[in-house]
Amino acid sequence: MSLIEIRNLKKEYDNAVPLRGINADIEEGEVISIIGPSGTGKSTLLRCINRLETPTSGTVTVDGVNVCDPSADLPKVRRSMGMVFQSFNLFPHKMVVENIMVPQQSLLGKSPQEAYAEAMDQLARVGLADKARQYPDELSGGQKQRVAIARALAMHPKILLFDEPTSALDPTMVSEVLSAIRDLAGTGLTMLIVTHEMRLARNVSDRVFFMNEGEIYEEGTPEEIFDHPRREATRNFIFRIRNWDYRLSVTEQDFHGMMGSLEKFCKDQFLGRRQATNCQLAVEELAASFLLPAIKESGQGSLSLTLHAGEEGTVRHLTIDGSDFPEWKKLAASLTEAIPAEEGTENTSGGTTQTDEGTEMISAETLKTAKKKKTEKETAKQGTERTKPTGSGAEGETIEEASTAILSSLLRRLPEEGEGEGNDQEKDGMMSFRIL
Amino acid sequence: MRFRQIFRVKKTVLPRLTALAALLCLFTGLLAARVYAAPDQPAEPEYTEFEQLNGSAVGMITGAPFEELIRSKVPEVGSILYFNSATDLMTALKAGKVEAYLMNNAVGALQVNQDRSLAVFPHKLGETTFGFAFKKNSEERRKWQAAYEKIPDEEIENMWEKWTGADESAKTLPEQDWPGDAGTVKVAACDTLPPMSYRGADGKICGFDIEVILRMAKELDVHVTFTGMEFASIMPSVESGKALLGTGSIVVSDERKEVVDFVEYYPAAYIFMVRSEGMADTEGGFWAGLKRSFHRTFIREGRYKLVLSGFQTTVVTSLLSGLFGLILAFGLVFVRHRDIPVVNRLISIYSSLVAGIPAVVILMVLYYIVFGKTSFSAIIVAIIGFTLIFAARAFAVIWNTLMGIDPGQREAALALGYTEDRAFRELILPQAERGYRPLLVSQFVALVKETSIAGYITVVELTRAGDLIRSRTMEAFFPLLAIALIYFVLVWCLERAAALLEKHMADKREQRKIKGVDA
Repeated sequence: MSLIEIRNLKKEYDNAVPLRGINADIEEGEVISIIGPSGTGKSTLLRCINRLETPTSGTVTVDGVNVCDPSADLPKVRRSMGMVFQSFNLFPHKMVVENIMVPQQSLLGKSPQEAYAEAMDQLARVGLADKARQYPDELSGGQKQRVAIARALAMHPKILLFDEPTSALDPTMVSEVLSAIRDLAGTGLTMLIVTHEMRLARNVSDRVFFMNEGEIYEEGTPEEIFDHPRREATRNFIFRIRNWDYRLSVTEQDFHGMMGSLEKFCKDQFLGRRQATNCQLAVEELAASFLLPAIKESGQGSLSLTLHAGEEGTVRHLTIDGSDFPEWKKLAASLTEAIPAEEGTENTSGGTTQTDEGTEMISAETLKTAKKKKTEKETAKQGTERTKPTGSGAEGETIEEASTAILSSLLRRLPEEGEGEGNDQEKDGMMSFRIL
Repeated sequence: MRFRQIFRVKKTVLPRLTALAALLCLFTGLLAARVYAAPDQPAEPEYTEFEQLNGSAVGMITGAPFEELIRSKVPEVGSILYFNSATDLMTALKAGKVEAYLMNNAVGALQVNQDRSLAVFPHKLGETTFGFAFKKNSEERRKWQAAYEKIPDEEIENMWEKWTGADESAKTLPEQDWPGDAGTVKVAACDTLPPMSYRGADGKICGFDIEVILRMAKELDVHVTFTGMEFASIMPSVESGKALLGTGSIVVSDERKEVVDFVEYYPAAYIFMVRSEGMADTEGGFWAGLKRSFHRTFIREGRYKLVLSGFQTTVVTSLLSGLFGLILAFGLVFVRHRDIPVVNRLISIYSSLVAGIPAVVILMVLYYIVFGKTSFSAIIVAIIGFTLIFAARAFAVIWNTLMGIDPGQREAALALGYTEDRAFRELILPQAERGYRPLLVSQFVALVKETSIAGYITVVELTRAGDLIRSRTMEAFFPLLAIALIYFVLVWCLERAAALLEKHMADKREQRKIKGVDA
């Protein structure tokens, strides 16, 4: 018999159905990640397992006890099943160590000394022994979450439920919590993790549940789900988490919003610092020097930007979709002029080094010089409106030229599939680049 | 850091010092205006003709139905103001709030004797009689009427002269030394109306009315217990049956006869009291006046004892109501936490009743209606009333704080294996404490001050003690301000204690000691 058996589990509200009938068996020692779009019942499923939520129908059997039975001894079942919440839920009036001691004393009948020893062990395990006498509001988010993990572990549960343990954290604090969770995998503890951290799901779990619209839509090993998803919704989801989209139009020109979402995407994808910087720089320069001025000039239409990132940034492709933009031809021409093609069929000027095979990193020196030049120019020309990017006939080195220098050192124009000619690109209204 | 500490001290102390200074200014200002007069030479009234009072404000005692009488003599009277006691009327007259006040001949005679700054207006407004009030159509009234008729007229006359006279030492009551075979009766007596019915030096009710009643009681062979109260409480006491008869210079009128029956025992006259001309200045300057006031208010006849016992009553009433109220409030919190719809409804009805009715009305309803037929003493009823009032407010404070606690706290406790009850008791409620504790303290401070209304149901607490002293000393301001000062100091001490408690709790938190682990 499995440790957790879920049969026909349904949860229905008047206006929403978070769970449409879940069936699953979870074996002792298994680590399960539950992923999927927001609002598809992931957290509800977790909360039904320890009955913080009462299901409408169906059964959840934990270690032989049906927790949906009204006569079930819920406190007893819950003692064997820890839970880590998105919002930590530490007791703010107790010190860190007391947060871990008090439940042991109250529920397991331990003496203060025993409870203290256990608490200190668990704190050491999550690396926070020196914070024992702090109050929760004196800790960072990541530290709070590690204390919450220690509090759950001190009860020696068989099962540990994680409800989006990193979603409320500052990006800089995610990895300390992830690493604490990773340490637990393989200790024989059965874990169910609802998460948006794909790397966590991929690296720690034995199985991944992909939930969609209240069902376990697809389940399998991390490789099956992430690399070879069988069903369409799974594929879309995996594609979407790998791709960043932004649409620029006359009415939608939130430059900072765009850069913010891109930055988050780079972090979520675990791009290296340099890779992330290059991506952001490329998008910034493209938008500021070419796309936004072009939109402004034409006064209509829109342009879509898509950044595709492979596993941990191994692939970084930027695509501009100009099919809704009336002056795409003109824009495409100027882009073609500014950015060198992959494998250098038409090598343009602009201080790039030889792009041999186009795979090696561009010289950091070159980029630095280009950026510096541009900054100087901008300082010099402060207050003057930028001229159109196409108007590059100005005498001397202009900002546009500096931008071009940066872009040409960051991007390589990719040939359209099957054909490598500019004409085709103009026809399709698409243009793709590889970010170095 | 040091600067901030100093600043913080200033921030809390400055307003208090300002308040204290303001209080002292008021005090000295009023005392300087106060007039002390020796009762030896007759004074000339400021007004001598009714016409002079046209357009002026005239005072009378609450519940006295004589507006028409006043208008019949002073048709263009400016306004008629109501006051609770003869002392309040006197205060108002001296402060110029009224130019004259309606009184009866008994009080008038005594006040003129005691305070030369007062004088009797030379014309009477009307004549009637004083009466003891009985419940309508009461058999008892006939018995007492018969008893009254047996008393010789000159005996009554002697009593009148004794009680309206200037000689305080003669004003004693006879012992109830008859067998009292016919039982004991309760009398509701106003305790602020010398010379008819008031508290004497020993704090017991005495006066002309009282002696007449004792004389009648002797005829009937019954013993009498007197309950002192405000004039306005006498009629309700008689009507509710809490007392067999009521007294306190009650002047018989047609309107009152509709409500109660009377045993009429002495002729009464309606007179105006006015200020006297050429009032003497304070002798011996300000400090001497202050000293005399202090002596009269606190030392003479051991009046400090009355203040002390009033203070004690205030403190006991507040503390017990606070304690029981808190217990009741926590009981309500636990019951409310069970979330049973019917019970929730009841609690919310209780809360809105207490919130929607003035405290003084709650007390009077409890005293005269709910506990009207029981023999609970007034102070117990007051404690019950204030307990109910405080419990409702404390409950609201605690419950609102609890509502502000993140529901995640409950979930975390449940997920660890706590039951709902234990989670609430051991984790949720304790963490709300930091929020509601200071709010409860301010509610309690409000309660302490609010106990001053217990006088309405005959409890002699601090405010009422001050009133009683004022009615004896015939002095308007000093007792009032002395009482204000006592309240102020009491509340200040309470707030200080609360601040120390908060500091202690903060220190304890900052010590970071783990219970059961650190020594």
